[in-house]
Amino acid sequence: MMNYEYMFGAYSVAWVVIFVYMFIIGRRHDKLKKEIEFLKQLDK
Amino acid sequence: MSMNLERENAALPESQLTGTRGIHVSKILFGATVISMLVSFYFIFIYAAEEKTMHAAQKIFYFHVSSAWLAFMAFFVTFVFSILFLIKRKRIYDMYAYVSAEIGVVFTIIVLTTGPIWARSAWNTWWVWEPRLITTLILFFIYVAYIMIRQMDGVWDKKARLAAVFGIIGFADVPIVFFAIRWWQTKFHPIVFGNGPSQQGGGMEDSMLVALLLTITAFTILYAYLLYKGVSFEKMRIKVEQYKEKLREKMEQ
Repeated sequence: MMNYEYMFGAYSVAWVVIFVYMFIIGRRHDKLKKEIEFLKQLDK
Repeated sequence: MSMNLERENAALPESQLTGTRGIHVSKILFGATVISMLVSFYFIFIYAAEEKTMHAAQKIFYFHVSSAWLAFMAFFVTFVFSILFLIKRKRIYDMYAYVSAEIGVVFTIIVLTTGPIWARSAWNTWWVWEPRLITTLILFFIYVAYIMIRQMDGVWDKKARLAAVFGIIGFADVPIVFFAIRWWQTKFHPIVFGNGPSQQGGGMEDSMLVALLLTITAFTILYAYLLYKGVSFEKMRIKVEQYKEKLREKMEQ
């Protein structure tokens, strides 16, 4: 038994968590960008 | 600057997350993260020797320990900036404390998920109620509570003060997590460096130590990148909030 499945499992989970967090940061940024554009229109 | 003055001077930020200099810093940190991660991958999977009993599963160790390192460092930064915030009451300190705690929670999740995968391969069980695992779980819940305080309704400085106290007291669990296997009896969690009451640290082979140190370096750069991104975003969010307040007041007049 070389235990590759455990290694792949652990590394996959770690990267999924990191990418999900980065995706959430990206979503927050997009939402804020839309809000800024909306406020710019409102202030004109 | 007072809150009212801040609001009066509030201007809408550009929709780019940071200025030109900020974009450069962000790009440099991102590039450094990618390069250092690739280097650490080479050292983990090709350079480092394979452990004789656990084989490939031992390689979980590099990411698991580096995630724990990052989480501890993130909570330490929260601790330091919480103290600074309580002394100086500057919002920027609160931003650093909050963003760092959030990153710490993310990497504690990695510790708490990769750990059981390691446990399954090494101990033939997913979870054991032993000191290191219990104290890590408590650490996770402490900082989840910290983030929940930040999500509550209310005036920001009240929330920030409460969270700062929480961030300072909560940090007490970090050394407990680290020393848990050295203070208390544990048959399961291995001690690599130093000795505990029930086992002695076996140390590491040189190639493994190099791989571990490089992975820790890569994770530290990743932390710097995430912290920079997070704080830039928070600065921008606060500017938008202040601008909205200013606009609301203008419309009400």
